[in-house]
Amino acid sequence: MDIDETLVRHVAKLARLELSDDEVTGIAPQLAEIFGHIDQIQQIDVGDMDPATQDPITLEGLRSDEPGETLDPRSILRNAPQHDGAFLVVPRFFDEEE
Amino acid sequence: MSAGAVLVGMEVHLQLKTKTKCFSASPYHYGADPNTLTDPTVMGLPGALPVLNHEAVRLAVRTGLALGCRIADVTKWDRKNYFYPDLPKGYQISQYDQPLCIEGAIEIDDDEGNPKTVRITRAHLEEDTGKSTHDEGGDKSRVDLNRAGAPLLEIVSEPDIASAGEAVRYLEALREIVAYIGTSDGNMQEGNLRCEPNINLVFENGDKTPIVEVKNLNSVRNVGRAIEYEIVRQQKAYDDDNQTMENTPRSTRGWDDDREVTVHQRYKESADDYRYFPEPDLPPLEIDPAFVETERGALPELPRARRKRYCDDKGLSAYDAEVITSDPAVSHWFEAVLAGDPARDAKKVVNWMTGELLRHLNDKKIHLDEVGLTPEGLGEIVDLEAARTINTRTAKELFREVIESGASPAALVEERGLSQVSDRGPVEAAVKAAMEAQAQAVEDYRAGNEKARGRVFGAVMKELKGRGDPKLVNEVLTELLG
Repeated sequence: MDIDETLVRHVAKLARLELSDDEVTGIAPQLAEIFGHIDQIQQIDVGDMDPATQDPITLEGLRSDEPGETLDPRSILRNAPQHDGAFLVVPRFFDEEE
Repeated sequence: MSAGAVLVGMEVHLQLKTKTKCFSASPYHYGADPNTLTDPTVMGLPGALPVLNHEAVRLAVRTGLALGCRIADVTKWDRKNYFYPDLPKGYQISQYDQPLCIEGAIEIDDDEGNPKTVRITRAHLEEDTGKSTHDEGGDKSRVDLNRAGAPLLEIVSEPDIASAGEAVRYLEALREIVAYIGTSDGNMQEGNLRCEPNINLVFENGDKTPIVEVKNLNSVRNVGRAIEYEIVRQQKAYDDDNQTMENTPRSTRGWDDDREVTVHQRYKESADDYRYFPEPDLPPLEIDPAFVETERGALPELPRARRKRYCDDKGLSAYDAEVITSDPAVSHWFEAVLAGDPARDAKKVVNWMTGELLRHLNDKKIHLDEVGLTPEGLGEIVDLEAARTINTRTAKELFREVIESGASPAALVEERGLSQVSDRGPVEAAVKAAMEAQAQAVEDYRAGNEKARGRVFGAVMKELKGRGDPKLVNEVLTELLG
């Protein structure tokens, strides 16, 4: 996989990370190296094994619809930088930003 | 320039009626105090893992089957990654390439009233986000995470909808189906049914206007209005600026309810980049075909099929069939009356229900399950009247009495001797007595005043305490009055 600066900037934007030009220049080769290792792993012959990560479960393995414990709202608000009454408060955003 | 043909595809998010969330045991219901219905999984706290709710899968399968979908043998979960304040984990658990329900259809009427099929591409299960409200003119947004993690079925249609009217009927049909099968409240105001139409126009020369997705629609009526607005706006953009798919990207527009217009929000330069990948915290799910068949067998008759049966087999008008099936509770009650004796006159039962019964419910502002009268009780009244054991007036009196008490009408008729007087002897005696009492009216009638006959008839019925068989009374009156 080619890791160039355009890709690094795009992923940083999706991840809401602010990177300086220097950081972008520095990170691109580091990421390229990491992905190089993954490319190497992918060359291992695993025969006809499925790429799926897990075996499926059946319906019997699911949770029944019984209500459990809820978090104390105060503990949620304590974790947030800002709140107004029972609401969490964040900088204003639109339903679809950009 | 020619008018373009309208293509609308609908994305509907339907909240399923479970007690707990899709991937954790936190309870969910509408209207709770903000941020009181969460748990570590909903909040995306370290170490918390999702566990799928069996009931969410069952309700999704039940809905999929009612929409004629095929149910996948194996379905899996994917992470849709995006950062948003109402999505604490930074991703939404959804389904990307192996949805639970595949290829269904909803039958609607087109604008000419002919049946039309709108194909459903897929329906997949996913978790809802929290709810945010924005200060008018301020710089803050408030977030309530109660809704985060509630189970949603996203139902995606093909662009088979060809007008605002069809879109409205599609949503009404979908809402009616889920009300019948009880899988969702389907209430747009409470947000448990949300929809986003994708609209564009196609012209005879092959040109197409860019697809527009409309958001912020909170009622079926507004969906219709937004589509009508978009048809006009897109036609104008094509006519005036030759705006086509070739030169303009897809976009999202928001419905402005006050101004009744759609407002540009953003362009979709490329497909949304959500970096979907298989959810590592949830194994794929294998669905036993026996489970699917059990669910299929448990589906009730759906409203459209029911209406057709009422028209074809029970002789109801399309209007009556529509009225009696529009509310599932009313429809099931009506079914119960007919079930007591399939030979009962369906039209008579409809008249009782849409007239006296619904009027009573409206007057008292109560629901059908709060009245004393049972479907069997109404069936008895209809039977007693059909057999001419009681006349219409007695039937109505009986109805008003048992609607509250729930007593058996047949037993009351027996107990109080309310049977209609249909023996000739007593009717003849009553007619003679009435003619004596109303000698003036008899004279007027014989002198040619037709209206005077009604006064004599009324007097006969009074003699018979309202229980005379009107047909026989008329016969005898005609004979004796000459």
